[in-house]
Amino acid sequence: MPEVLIEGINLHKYFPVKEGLLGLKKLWLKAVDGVNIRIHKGEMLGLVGESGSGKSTLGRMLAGILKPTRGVIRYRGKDVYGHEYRLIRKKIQLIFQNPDSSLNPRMRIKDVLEEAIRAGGVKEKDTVESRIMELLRDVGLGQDVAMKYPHQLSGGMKQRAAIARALAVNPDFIIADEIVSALDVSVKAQILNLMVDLQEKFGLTCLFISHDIPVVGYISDRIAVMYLGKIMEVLPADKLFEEPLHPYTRALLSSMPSLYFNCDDKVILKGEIPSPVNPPMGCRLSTRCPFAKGICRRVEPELKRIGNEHFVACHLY
Amino acid sequence: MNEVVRLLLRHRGAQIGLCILLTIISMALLADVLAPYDPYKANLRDALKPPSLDHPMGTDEIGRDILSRIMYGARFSLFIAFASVAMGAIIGVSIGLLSGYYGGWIDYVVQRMTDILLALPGVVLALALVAVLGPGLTNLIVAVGIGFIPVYIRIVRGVTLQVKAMEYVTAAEMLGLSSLRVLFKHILPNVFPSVMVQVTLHLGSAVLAAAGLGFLGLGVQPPNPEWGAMIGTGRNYIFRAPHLIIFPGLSLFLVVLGFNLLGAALREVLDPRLRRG
Amino acid sequence: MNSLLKVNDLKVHYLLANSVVRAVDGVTFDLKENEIFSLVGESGSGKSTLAYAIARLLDSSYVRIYGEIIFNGINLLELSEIEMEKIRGNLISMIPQDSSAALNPAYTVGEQIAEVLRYKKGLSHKEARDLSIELMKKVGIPDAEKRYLDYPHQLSGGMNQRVVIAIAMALKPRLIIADEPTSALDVTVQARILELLTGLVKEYGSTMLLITHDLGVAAEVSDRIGVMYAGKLMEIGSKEEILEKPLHPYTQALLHAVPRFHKKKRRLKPIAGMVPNLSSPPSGCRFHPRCPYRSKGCILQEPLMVEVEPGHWVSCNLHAMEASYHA
Repeated sequence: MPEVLIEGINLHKYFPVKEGLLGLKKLWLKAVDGVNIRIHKGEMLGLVGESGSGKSTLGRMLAGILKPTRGVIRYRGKDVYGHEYRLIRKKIQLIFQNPDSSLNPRMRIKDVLEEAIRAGGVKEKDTVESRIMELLRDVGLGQDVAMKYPHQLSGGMKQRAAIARALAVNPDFIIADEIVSALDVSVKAQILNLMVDLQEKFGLTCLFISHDIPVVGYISDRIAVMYLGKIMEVLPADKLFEEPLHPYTRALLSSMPSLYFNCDDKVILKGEIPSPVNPPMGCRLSTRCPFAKGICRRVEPELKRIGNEHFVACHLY
Repeated sequence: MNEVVRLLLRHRGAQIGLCILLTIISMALLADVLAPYDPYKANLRDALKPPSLDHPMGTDEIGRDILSRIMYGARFSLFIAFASVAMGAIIGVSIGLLSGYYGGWIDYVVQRMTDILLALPGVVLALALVAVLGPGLTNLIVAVGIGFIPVYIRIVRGVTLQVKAMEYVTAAEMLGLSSLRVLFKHILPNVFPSVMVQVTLHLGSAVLAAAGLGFLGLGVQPPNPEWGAMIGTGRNYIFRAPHLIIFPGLSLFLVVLGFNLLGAALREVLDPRLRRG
Repeated sequence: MNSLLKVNDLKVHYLLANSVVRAVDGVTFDLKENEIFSLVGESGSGKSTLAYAIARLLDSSYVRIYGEIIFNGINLLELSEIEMEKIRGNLISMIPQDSSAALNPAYTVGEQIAEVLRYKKGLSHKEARDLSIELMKKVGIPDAEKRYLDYPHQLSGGMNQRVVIAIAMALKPRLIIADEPTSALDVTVQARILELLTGLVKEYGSTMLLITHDLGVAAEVSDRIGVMYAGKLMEIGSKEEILEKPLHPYTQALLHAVPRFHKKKRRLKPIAGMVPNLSSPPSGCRFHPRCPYRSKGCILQEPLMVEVEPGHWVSCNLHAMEASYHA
């Protein structure tokens, strides 16, 4: 059993939403509402969910830039928001969705990389220069890219530069938040292949957040499915298409175009996703689940181990 | 940066503005060499003489050559303008950056104070301050400069908030860079363009504000050749010797025109570029 | 089956300060009655421009359009704006990409549907309101009477999209152009919106031109598919032909670049290179810089569109010798 690199225990993140005159009546947007998550060293964990699922919020909490309202995140046993914050911070890096806003438009790529490399502790000019060249090679960018400004690069190239920046500080753990969603199909494939290669080459641990199920299914070792702030199912990637158990997972697969996945046993959800300000009692999916029973509306199901590395939070099991 | 300068130099308005300003600035700098007479030397026999070959702009009520006074006067107007705007901008930008970046109660307090300052009309504020501080060059600069501070706070805070939301700022923070470094390296350069536009526009206002106070006798005191003060004293002779007012007035007009043309051109050059970038 | 729309050698050029962007550069195809045709392409392929050109919604000051767009025997490009207005909404309607941008935030959604009915069909206020509620029910909006009074920001993205569809379908147009109607939506909502749209289209016997970058979506709902790249059509065929027997290297590459469930952890085959700059596109075949099968001829000569089998057209030098040529 490979060691657990990063662990989130009983994580909650609530955002205040003001209502009423003078902002007296305070409501809370429960973006993440009780999540336990474990990521093993060297694995690529896919986090999939629709909008409002809380996956980006969870990603940012794990990245160390969003303090949980409740709960603890441990990196190699140390609290990410504790005293040793500064030491841990650089070991976890985040890559963002929008290639246009993730690079400073006024900085050349070499300056972006230099800043990161120096932040990692490297001081000599020569070492910095050779490291810049090395990083560009690692992410498949030509040496000429170093002198360019972001607006001179295509979306795919900008993302590669962002990945290079993340690698510059030699992190252990990389969180990729929808990094291919804004890219064209042909470029998506390039970046996905790159991530797989880098993970193998550097033994990185990755959290890959995406709403795109075929992409997550392709790239991940294990997959966690989120809905309305909670994890519904965690399973190995190859089980995703063969043996999805949770009705929500099955609903997600059912709605995919058949080019990506042919689903025999379709599950259709009723209604619309409820507001995270007022999530349903009991199981979050109970208002829409075709299999909902009485108990589903009263008691929230726990994440239970079903098989090897397979966990489901559902009263059906 | 270089691109901006290049585009600016091609802009017609900027060219005119720069010409005017450069002429006046050189006039101010080289006054010692260019001025035909001592601007302080009185000569009552030659008082109130209209423009002639000897005195191209005529003489004032105690016989001083107006052309020389205009040249030396440029020093006052320009110095006051640059100093007061510099003061306002440096203080305003710093506060704006900190307020926008750190947010929280600091931001709240700063915003409310800015609201109050902005509610007071600039000229009235300057007047009040001069009344309290007394006349004189330094006080004039402070009085005019304070009125500019809230404008920079507002502009800079707005841009800071925008830039703070950009992921490259988050990325820099995740590298463990200190907040000060993030502010200087990432936020300030993006704030710079809007600030520069405002600075050029403020320079024109500052010249006018100083002249206005000078006109009222509250700014630079006689016998100093400040253009506003010259108009103030020349007021008494408006029918007999209008040239006492015309030339300082024209000079003021040209300087403000120069700054405004430059400011407008700068804004135009920066705006579509931002969109294209 | 008759052709509802015939596009002949359509070119749409944008005039910029220093260059001309050839967004659509010689596209010929037709749309039959009662069919769903998907136009698939990545960014920069020209598919959206083509859609807007057909609806004549492109600003004319810096746009130059050449060629013909024949709808029901009339060349739309020759019509005046007034004549075109009679066609929009009644005969041709458009579903834009971002529903929240398409709806006016200052008016209730019901009012926005009703307005179309009053203006175009001359209905009274009451008649328009009643019909609007009917339409809202038809597009699957629950509690339609109550939702009639809601503003766009009070509804979810999926609901707004349904409202936009209601507006577009209100007058039962012959041709519906849908520009990425589901890109901004969650995947579970996407499936239902597509179902709704295709259901309505079939029910009214209309034709839909669906613009999308997602081959999966195209495969799900279309009768025929056209693949665009860099302003030109590369291949046209039935859904089965495109998915199972793709002829153009670009189409084949697209199919291989997409993660599909049975290709686990085997490397995806990305397409090398980048989409070209449309102000100076590559010579000859636009795809040649990225094509694994390119030959000398491909760099020099732009291939013609040939019909390899009935209804299956491809623009590629590999197939240039076969069958009849496009008229």
